[in-house]
Amino acid sequence: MIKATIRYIIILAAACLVAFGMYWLVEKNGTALGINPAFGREGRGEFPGMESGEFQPRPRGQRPADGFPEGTAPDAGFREHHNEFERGGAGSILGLGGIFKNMVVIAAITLGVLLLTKAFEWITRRGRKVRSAA
Amino acid sequence: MSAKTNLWVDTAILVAFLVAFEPVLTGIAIHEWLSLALAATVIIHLLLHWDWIIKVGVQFFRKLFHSSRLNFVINLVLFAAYILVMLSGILISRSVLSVLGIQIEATPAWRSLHSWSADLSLIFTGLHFALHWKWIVNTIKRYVAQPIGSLFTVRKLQPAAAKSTIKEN
Repeated sequence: MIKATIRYIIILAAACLVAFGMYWLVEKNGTALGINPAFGREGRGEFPGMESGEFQPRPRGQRPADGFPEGTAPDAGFREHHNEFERGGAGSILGLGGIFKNMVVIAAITLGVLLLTKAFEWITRRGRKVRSAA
Repeated sequence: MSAKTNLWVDTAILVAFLVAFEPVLTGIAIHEWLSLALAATVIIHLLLHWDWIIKVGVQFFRKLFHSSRLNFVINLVLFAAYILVMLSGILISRSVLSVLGIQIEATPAWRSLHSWSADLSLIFTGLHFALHWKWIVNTIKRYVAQPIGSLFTVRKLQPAAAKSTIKEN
């Protein structure tokens, strides 16, 4: 039990060390590494519906909406969708679809690797046969 | 540790991973807390394979070619991807950090890194799954398929047992 606890702490410490390294890389040297600190939709202050005018940026001085960056506020429809996402459950069919999609991705990768392994085995076996025949 | 324990821990991790991967289904709060619990379980998974990690880790720089090398590299990338998912998730967290009363000023880049590293971890989970396919199939056959199958097979009476049953009658 003591041995397992020590090992658990070692793994946790290693994970924390790697995490600290990643944090330092992104926060301190992100720009040098080509990671734009403001990249991503939110960083650019862009939201769906902005181009069509459906989504209006929040006027300056108004209280920022929860979860949205300074200077922007969502319209009622977008806000409702955002709240559904925050609560979860409302989009459960969508969520189950997402789980299914991820399972398909894992299955496809597994199948791909298994087929590649079989192909590699077949090629090496055939190569060995050809060499022995020669 | 037995293969049966490994099988159940791994199944729990896979199910939790798939559910935590879909915040649309669970909502942000459950997504964050479930992911934290998942991180703790992943460490238990590593703990159960401690001997293998040490053995292959020591051999990694000694022998240039051996079968576990690819497996080890994929597991290392997967571990790094999980750490990045957890770190970025904690930094952009709204539920966990507010409950703990912590406020972190992080750049918006973490949001994109969170989704990017999540996609990477999904791909490498698939590769991890594929490289352990034989073990998965064998263990499921042994601990799931065979016990279920034995429930439906008709048991034949042993000759001695059958005779004693006839005598009793």
